[in-house]
Amino acid sequence: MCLAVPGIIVSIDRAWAQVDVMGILNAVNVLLIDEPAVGDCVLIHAGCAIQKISSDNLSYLSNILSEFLIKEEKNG
Amino acid sequence: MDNGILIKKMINEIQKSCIEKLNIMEVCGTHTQAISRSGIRSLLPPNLVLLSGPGCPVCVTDESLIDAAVEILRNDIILATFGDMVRIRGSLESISDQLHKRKNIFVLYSPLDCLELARDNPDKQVVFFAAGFETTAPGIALTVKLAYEENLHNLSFLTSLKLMPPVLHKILREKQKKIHGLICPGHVAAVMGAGYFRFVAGEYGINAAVCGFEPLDIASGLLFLTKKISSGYESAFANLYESCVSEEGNETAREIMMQVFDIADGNWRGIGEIKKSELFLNENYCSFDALKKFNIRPDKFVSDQRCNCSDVILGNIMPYECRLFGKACTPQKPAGPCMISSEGSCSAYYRYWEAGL
Amino acid sequence: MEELIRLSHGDGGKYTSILINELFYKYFGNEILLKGSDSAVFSISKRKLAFSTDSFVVKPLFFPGGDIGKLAVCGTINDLSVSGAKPLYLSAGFIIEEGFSISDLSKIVRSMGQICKETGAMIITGDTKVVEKGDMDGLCINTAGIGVVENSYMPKKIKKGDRIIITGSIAEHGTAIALERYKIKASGTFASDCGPVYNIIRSLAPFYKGIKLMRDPTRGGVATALNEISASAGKGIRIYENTLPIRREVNAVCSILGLDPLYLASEGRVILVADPGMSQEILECIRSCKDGENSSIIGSFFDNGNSLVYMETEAGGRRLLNTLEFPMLPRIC
Repeated sequence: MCLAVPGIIVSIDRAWAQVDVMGILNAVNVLLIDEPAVGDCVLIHAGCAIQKISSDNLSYLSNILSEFLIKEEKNG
Repeated sequence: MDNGILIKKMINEIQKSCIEKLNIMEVCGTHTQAISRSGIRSLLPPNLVLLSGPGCPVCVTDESLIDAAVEILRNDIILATFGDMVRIRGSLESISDQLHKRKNIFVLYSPLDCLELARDNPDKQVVFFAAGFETTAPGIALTVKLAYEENLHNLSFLTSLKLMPPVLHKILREKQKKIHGLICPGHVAAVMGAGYFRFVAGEYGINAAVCGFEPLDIASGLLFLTKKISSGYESAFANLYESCVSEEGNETAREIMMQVFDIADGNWRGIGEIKKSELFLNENYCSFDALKKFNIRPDKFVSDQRCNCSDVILGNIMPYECRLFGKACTPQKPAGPCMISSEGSCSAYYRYWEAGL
Repeated sequence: MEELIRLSHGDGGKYTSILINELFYKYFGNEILLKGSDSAVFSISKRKLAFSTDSFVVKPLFFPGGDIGKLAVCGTINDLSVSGAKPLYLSAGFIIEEGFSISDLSKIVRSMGQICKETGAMIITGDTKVVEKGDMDGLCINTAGIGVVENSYMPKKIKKGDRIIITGSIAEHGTAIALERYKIKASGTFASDCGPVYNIIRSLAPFYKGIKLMRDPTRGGVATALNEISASAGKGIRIYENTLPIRREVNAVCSILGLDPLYLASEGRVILVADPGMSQEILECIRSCKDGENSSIIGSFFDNGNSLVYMETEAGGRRLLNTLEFPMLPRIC
């Protein structure tokens, strides 16, 4: 129930933003998030920004889990 | 470390940790699809059983609502819907069955697109039919609000907007199979907060992780759960999708949702009534309710009990344990919603089972 | 000329003549067509011939990179080309809804003429019918074509280990249609890959002895075409996700709408099955052609007594690729 993609806000005109998703400009409604700004990374679902994205989750996970795996390897 | 290598290492660790049989439930239909498409499903050890839960909004939409959409289409109206809803059958027919009758049916990407349809067709009634969970509900609430502000009185809504916690409570209370771990839907959590799912660990002692949808996210979730389960933990909880999910979620989106909807008892296809599990238009917006506008009272439809979709959705049985699976029920001639929808558990399972992959 | 198509444009009388002269003859004009006979008469010396037909009802009629007319001509030209034939003569039949814009029809017919000029194929006969408003949706075009089989290209028996090559990046046509239909703006110059493949195929003439099969992955995309090939060869196909040439814009649109590029149509690409010993040379030859720069070897055949198609994913797992059973629609879930 949750198909959503990240994108970067390129411009805002009141309720609508042009959001760059991998090179495609998607018109996205920003009324569901607080104080959207150009440069914000947002999560887009069915034409609406539903949350701001704070950082790159993949690098966050990579760091956490690399440590976890290295620790396990040492213990294992 | 390269993502591909990291995933391989994780899968390795998962395989090592799975000494006994583990049941992990992934509730969200998008997770079911992602697990198949990433190829992770084929890498899991036989001891790790993935139970697919009720997070497929198409699968749990009551037949009577689809019948209502078909009934409304007898009038000369415009029906707009998400692509997901088109093929699913009600008691007899689906929306796609109406296409050959030259009805005005539009598939939309966003609920907001129906506002334009209503503006462009002021002399026609436009009905937006959609199913979804907490991820989708705020966008639909926003659409209703904007329709109200713009006085678009030729627009109305037919909705099946369900909530995750009530059905999870039902599953975790009544479970026939032991569930050792739960992958929580990452985008529902983006709206509602990671805290929305802490009860899974806190009240039921089940290890749970909020996960995203990329292969790395899914592998991380499975690794976390497998490690915790095999180390004898219960009640471990992790938010593994911090970039999109905060503890509290998106308050702005929730406020808009609750300005438009009330929570009441809902009918879940194949499962039956679950208390306080569905969102309905509140009295401020009831003029936008399509059922009222077209004077349709959905019958309490008694499900065809031949198929065991409800048991599959609730995680009580695996798809292949349904007596119709692979025989009277295949993707080419589906008997129930779990096989029709591409996120349905049976559909996802069948394709791998058939290929022996 | 008027603005809108009327029933009289299809009744064979004065208005049909006006339409033929001012539109079809203007953009398709060639000696055979301009004779205006009931049948086009031509000679072809004792050669093996290929003959193909296709009908087009695409919505929307206009999309980035083309329109229904370009699609209709390329469709038949490409079907002939992948059979090893040089496309020579085409017919074009139009069924038009009353009220259709003549200006739109003009654009469509002009782009058909354009492709013919580029490829040297000629539309030498045709037909127009007009139906009452509401009896059909806009416009339907049928094209049929004849080509001469050159250089003795023959499909051959597929063996275990044979390689699968795609001549360029995939799913661009399907993506362009989705962009139009669901009103998503593409920044930059993204367009459908709709176009003739004849030049690429002709350049492969020195390698025909090593080419076992050629197929264009249109409706249902690459995955569906591979399933058809696997079924007729009676052998399995394995492809590799990290070898698939997919443009960033295609991935973007598919992520937004929940579509799968493996099932979206390409209209200017060819799937080739080639002898493993020649595959690298064939690849280099295609890459040196216009529109062939992104060609890639994407997989190979295996033999376990079954015909199935699967993909080795970037995560290191396997994903089964079935035939597309129903038209793909955007998802929210």
